[in-house]
Amino acid sequence: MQPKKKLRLASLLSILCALSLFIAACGGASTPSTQKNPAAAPADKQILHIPLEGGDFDSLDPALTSGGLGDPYNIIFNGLVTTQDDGSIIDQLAASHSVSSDGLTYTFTLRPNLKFSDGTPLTASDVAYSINRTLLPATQSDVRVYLSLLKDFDKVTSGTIPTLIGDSLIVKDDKTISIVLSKPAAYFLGALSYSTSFVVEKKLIDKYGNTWTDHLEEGGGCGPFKVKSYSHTTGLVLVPNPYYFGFQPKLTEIQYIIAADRDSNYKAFQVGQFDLAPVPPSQDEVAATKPGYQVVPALASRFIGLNYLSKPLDNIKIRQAFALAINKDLIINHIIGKFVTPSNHIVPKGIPGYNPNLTGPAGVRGTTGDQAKAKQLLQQGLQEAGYSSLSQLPSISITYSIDYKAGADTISAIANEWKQVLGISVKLIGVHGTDLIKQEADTVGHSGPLQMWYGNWGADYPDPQDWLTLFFGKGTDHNTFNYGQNNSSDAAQQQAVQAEMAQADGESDNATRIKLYNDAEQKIVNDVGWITTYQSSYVYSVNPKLQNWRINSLGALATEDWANIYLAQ
Amino acid sequence: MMQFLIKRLIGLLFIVLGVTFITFMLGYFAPSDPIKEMMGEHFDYQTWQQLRHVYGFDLPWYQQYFNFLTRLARFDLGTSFHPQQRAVWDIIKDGVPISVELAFWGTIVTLLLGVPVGIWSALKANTWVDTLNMSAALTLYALPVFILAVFVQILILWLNNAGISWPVIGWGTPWQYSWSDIQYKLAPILTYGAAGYAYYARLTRTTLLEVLRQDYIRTARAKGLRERVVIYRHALRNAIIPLITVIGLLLGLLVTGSFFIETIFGIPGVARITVNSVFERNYPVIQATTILIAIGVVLGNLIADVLYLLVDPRIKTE
Amino acid sequence: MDTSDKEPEVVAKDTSNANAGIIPAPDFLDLQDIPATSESILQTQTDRKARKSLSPFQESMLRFRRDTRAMISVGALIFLVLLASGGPPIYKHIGGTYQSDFGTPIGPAIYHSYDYQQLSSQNQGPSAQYWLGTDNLGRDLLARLMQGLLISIIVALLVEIVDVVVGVLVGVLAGYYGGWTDTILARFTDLIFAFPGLLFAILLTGIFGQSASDYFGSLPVVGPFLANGNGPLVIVSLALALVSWPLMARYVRGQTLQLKQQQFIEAARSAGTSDVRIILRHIIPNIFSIVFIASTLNIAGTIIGESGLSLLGLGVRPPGSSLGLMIADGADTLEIHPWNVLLPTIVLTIIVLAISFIGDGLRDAFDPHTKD
Repeated sequence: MQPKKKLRLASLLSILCALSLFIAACGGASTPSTQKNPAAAPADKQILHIPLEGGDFDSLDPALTSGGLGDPYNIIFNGLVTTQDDGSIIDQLAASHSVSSDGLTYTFTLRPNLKFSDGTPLTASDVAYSINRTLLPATQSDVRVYLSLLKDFDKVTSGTIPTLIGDSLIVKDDKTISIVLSKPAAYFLGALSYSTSFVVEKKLIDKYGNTWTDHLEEGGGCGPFKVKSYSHTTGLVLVPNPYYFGFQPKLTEIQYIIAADRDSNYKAFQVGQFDLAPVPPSQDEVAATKPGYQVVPALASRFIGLNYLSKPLDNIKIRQAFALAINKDLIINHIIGKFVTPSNHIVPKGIPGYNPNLTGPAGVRGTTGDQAKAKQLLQQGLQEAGYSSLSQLPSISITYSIDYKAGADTISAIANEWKQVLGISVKLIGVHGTDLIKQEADTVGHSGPLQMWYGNWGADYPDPQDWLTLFFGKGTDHNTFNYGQNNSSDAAQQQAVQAEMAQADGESDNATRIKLYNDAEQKIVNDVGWITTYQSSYVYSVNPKLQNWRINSLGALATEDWANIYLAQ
Repeated sequence: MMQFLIKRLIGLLFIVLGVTFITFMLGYFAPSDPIKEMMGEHFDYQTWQQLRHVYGFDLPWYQQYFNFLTRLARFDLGTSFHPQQRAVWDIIKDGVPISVELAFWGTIVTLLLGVPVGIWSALKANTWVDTLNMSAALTLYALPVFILAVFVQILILWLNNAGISWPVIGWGTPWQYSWSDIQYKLAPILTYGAAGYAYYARLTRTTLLEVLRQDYIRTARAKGLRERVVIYRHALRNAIIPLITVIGLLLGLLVTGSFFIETIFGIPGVARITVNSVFERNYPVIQATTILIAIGVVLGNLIADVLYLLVDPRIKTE
Repeated sequence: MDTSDKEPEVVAKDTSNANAGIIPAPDFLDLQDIPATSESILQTQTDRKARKSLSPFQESMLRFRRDTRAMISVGALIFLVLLASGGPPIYKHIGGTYQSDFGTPIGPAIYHSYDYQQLSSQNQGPSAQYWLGTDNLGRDLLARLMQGLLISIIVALLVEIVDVVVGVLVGVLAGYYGGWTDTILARFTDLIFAFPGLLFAILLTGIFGQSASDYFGSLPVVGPFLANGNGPLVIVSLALALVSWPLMARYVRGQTLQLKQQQFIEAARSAGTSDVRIILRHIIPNIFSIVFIASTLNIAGTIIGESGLSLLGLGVRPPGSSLGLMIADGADTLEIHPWNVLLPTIVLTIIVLAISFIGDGLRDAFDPHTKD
């Protein structure tokens, strides 16, 4: 009886709100958006229109997509655990979980009466099947690395052993599953909350093979929404899943519409074709004055990578000169806008372990750089590296993605500052984003193809490991900078930092762990591992009628958020 | 007539063969390795060699080309590298009716606007009407389609601000014309027709002027025929023949425009798929769409030829 | 001109020669009606006794010079070419000393260069420092415009050189000799026409653009110029030229076919003049005007094509500049700072208008039916 009463109270409240909204509209003075719960529009109007920028999903398969954070993945599928908006991890399909004393075995107990969207019961074997499927070579997942903590990960991905079920994925009974790790890691649950561990329905995959995501209207998921239709040309339509264990959403339909580029989509949003759209940087000033504008600092950064194996970037002082010559404030305020934060940090603000006391290279504070010091460092660096003058420097190039215009403009402006301050003309190479990512992968362990490049990263889960060890650890796929394994004067010290980070990864005492990461981060910044330009923000305009849709700092909405999202009258 | 058509069809076959050869060669000599692209991050040499063999990339080029052709003959366009390794035909099949629809209406708009304006300009040749018409047409011609499209979108924004609800992007249902479909389609079709319109207005003017300078027109006038009769009965009829033959060339021009129109207006047609796959280096899709577009253009030409035959009976003497 | 019409059209022309009563099908460029032979001109000249001892070419040029619209267009084009080639060195010497963003004094040689950015003065209107204002990165619009013009003109010229050389060569050979040369040409042009020009250019630049620009950037002499964002230009020009010459060859072939049947050629042939000499002395001079008209029309298409490729990121890259890149750069702020787009667009329109009016004027001037 209790919940029902609450519901009544809520609807009464919403009527009151609607009344006051009406009055406010007549008065014209107060802002209606501050009202807590405006009355909902009728059920047939509860349709959310979301633009898909640039085309179809790369894949709807949670084991394959590289965009598996947030919707639609986390509302079609669910996993054992999930990330909340504040970054904390809670149980989702699991009712509870426990960790063994050595930190190697995680045991999950599932909620009762779990069902797939076609009504088939969901058991612990389905969980094991789904995680194992991501790792099988036949699945060809580019993102399975999220599960690399699992014991025998290498063996199953290389095909040496056929399955992890019974090995590191142990199904105890229908409701209980244990997962065994190769080493204790504090960030394991974070990694497990990613889409690679979402539970999928074996029946559907057996039936349709590779194209199973084209038939999701027959089942396959277990989240609050299920697929009504999916077309590679027009987009995806979701409706509430009646078999969901949790809330029933207020929205009756979500349409993901395959649209155009960001500029066109934003115009389409303005005429009401969409209920929300990312704001193009060029439109930001105008958009900020309109209702429904949202800025959320992102756990994401853009940075200039510098390859330690490429001359003259093997010289620490020359690297520092490049870093300090840039006046980040000037560039960012004029090109990107005031909604992002110029930064020197590798671990962005909002991630546990963010270090407010971090200084830039050579102890310089602030983000305006130090141009005099940059010139001085350049001279010292030239001498150290044995160049008698600037003209002897090998040519330096910076590669950037031409798909992101504000990024291209930023690089153009930075190159212009380098030319003015250091007198070095850096060659600009524009490539497509997909090519840049490929070249980054090719640069690991090599002096090319990239010398300098403009990269970006968004947190997969809120942990410093995702920023430090992942990029600068020994032998990781993302160590494009070749930090540690190079011929610079600091190579030995860098290897010590790598050991420090590895130690931090497995450290169970949080304070000690953070301290280790902070120390490592400062040392990496001093050696100019990369030059952070700014911490990004997610900038959206949403339909003022759309209630409770608010993107979090990971650039997504938690599954639970969808319980309260609706369109007001 | 039959003989002529057969001849054209043989020519068409030759063109398709040539197009397949060029697209094949572009893919063959392209600096990036298709198997590497396909394998993504999971590159290892052994699998690479295996896959090369499976896909026949280790064969000499003429055998690869031959295989490519035999697959084409079976209407097997291959498998796409990127998203989801779907069958190529599966990716483009939904785009075909949309692009054809856009081209069809674009051509209609072009002709309906271009020809009358061209006639008007020719009749008022070298007056201010003519200069104004031609300047307007040439300005439209000079304006790159992508800027024109953005201009149109901004115009629609203004319309909406003025209270007239109108969509900025999208296409609606292909070949359906409910009011909302028309709303979607109008702006892209007009934008699409604009460049063609400019071209056609100019062409009509020039052609008609040429005809009006011919001796037989002078004769007709000298005979005392009314100007109206001279122009509509004699001049226009002869001017229209070259206009028809140029529709084929116009199609090429329109296809070029569609790359931008489809991208900016968010139309899921073949042109947008092509542009995306060029950026993704998705060769199977590039090859398929190129061949498809070429066939479309050639078919358009064939239709123009048939029209030409109907208008100009002298061909039959061939 | 489209290809598929070719065969029927030729037939139509042939028949028109045979029976004077049947109306000839006019070509849109009216190339066949250009007075190709000195004989025919002589005939018209005898009609006009007033005019003495002017060569047909001189006479046409005289008519052309009297065409005000065309003469204004010529003036505008010359002005733009001078602006592009001579403007930058002059502009770099005019202006006082200003402060850079880093507080250092800079002269016009720096802030009037096309790649210098003064971020603190982005999107400004015209001023004493920046005559036409600045773009969204604080670059001098006038400097970028002049550089962009230069690039666009260079691309147009490169394309036109290939277009004319290859087009004339193939067209004359096919028209003069006929037979298999002609068949191959006809098939090849059919093929290229089926390939929409931009698609071919997109394919070429998209696939080979990067490696080609790396290669060209490393060449001696031209390398430094091409390295600064202009590398893809070569491949862009090549791609655009590849799709444009068959049309030229078509025109030339048609004209050559007609010339071949003229009496003076047949006379030369029966007098034992070699083919090479006939082609060089009699045919090429007589197709000059049609080549000129066709190439002026093509220039406009080339400049627009380059702009499209730059928008797609396949053409000139920053900090380089071209008219197309300037337009593409400003496209996303069209509503807020329309000037950034309008300026290069206006210049592009002027070029296209001027070239087209010149083409019109030339055709009128060389048209035998035109009466003074």
